[in-house]
Amino acid sequence: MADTWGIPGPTFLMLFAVAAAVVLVGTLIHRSRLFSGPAQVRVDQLSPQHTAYLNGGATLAVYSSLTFLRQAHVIEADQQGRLTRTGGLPAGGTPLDAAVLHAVGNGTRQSELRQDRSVAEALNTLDADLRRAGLTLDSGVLARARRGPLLLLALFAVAVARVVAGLGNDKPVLFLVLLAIPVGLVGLVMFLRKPRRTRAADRALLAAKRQFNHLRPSSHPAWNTYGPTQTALAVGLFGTAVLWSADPAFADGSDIPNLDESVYGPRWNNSGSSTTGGDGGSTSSSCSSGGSSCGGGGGCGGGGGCGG
Amino acid sequence: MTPLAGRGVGIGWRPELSGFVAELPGLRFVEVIAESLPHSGEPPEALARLLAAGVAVVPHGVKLSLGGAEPVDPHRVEHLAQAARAVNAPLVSEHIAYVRAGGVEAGHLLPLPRSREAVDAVVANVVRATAELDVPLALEPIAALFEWPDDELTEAEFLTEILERTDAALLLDIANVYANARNRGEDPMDLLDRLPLERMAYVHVAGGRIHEGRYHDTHTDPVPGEVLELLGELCARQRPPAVLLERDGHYPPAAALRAELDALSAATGYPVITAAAGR
Repeated sequence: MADTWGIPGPTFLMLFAVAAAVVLVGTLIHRSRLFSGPAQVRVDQLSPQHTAYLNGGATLAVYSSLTFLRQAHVIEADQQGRLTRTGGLPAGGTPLDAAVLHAVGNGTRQSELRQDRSVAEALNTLDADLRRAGLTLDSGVLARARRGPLLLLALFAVAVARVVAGLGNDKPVLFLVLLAIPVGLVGLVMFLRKPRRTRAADRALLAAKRQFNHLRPSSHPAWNTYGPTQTALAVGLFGTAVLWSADPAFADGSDIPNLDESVYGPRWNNSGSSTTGGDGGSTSSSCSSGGSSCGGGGGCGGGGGCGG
Repeated sequence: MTPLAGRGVGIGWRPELSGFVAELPGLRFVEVIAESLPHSGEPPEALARLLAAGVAVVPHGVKLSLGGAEPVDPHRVEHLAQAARAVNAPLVSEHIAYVRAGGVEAGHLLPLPRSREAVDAVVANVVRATAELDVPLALEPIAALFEWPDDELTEAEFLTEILERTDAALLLDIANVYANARNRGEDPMDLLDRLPLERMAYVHVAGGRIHEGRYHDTHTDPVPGEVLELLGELCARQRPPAVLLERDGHYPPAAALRAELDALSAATGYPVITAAAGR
């Protein structure tokens, strides 16, 4: 009986294995480079809102801004969830703070702030800053990162065709099936995974969490002493649980969810080691000991984790 | 016996304030609640960083109950000794008070009747405690919101006798001196004149407020000018080796807290710790 496609089974198997190995290694190297980001990111180069955006996207950046404005006593929330403006832009206010304060003054509700034109513009600026600094990954990079996984999927498709043809030819296909399935799975997982941050950004965030460990809600920080900017930074790093600790009435009144850091960003634990994996954010969910209160809104393992 | 000589102005370290304390460039000493330190192993990272920067850390016990009629709990003494070792403390401090009796926890520092019997009980407990401690012990008299009817000794006699018989150092709370004198209608200087001030290891300063005609040593309000003035009077008689701001809640903005520390510097003549030049 003739060889399927004129290639003997063992030869095809060998060729397939070599091709898959070469593509896999090339893909890993390629993606590692694409996702690495700058060698050095200084924690203090990130503003509270950049940190919040990096950690939890536009939503957390807005919450961080609301925290700044609230701690500076220029906004209030009533029982019906309406925000009101009670003062001008405080010293140290950013363009996002100015836009949020303006929108609040116009009667925009908390949930609609992101749709406000100037707020959206300020958020886009934050987004662009982070991309320019090599901290977040844009669609172009993500598209390039998908080339390798696409090749793996193509190899998988070839293997499927060969298996179908081989079965029709009454040839054994078990080894090929066993080899093709992991190739397909790895290709699919890498194809679907879309990290938001570079590894440099994850490292910077973890370094910031360590440096500002005293701002963790579990330490019951003296928010009044740390002031509006540090409290806004704490929201950016450790989630809206900070605002719920600093001003529960406002957080409740303005419909801000009570989410701790387990929902956002790369994980940090007391041993000081990152739980971020090599491919731009792992899905491992080791609950940090000490500080973080797991099981609140979001909780460990649920919620999303890093890299999403 | 002045383990804190030259340490100047310090602040009570609290987890809530650790980021603020870490940024005081001229800081040379802090006090930490002894019971908040872990039973074994390393102190909290923020304290470890202060230690590495040469800041002295003084464990301040609040639950030893040295004034109790029963002997001090050896486990609590052992923990205080361990806490002192963990932070390489130059000394530790505790209150002349009792917090439990007959196995019941009061949850507060309670004043002792100023009797000879009470002096004997305190002295016995201090001797038991210091036998286990590697460092000197400073004793802090507490604010007495009421007087026991059978007081045999004046406050000064009571303290002097305890300190002399135990050779312990004095941790004087100047806000307490002010509070007691004001609430009893006495002159605080009288007490200062009769206390063994040369035994001072350091001084506590805290804020308070007047409520229903009485001054309450709350530790959650600003330090009143009268307390700062009394601190100045104390320094005129005998400048303490070090002075510590105690703030335990209702924390003010950083600028206000720094201003209070600067006020302690102004009253004592010790270097300002809120600016780099203070060191």
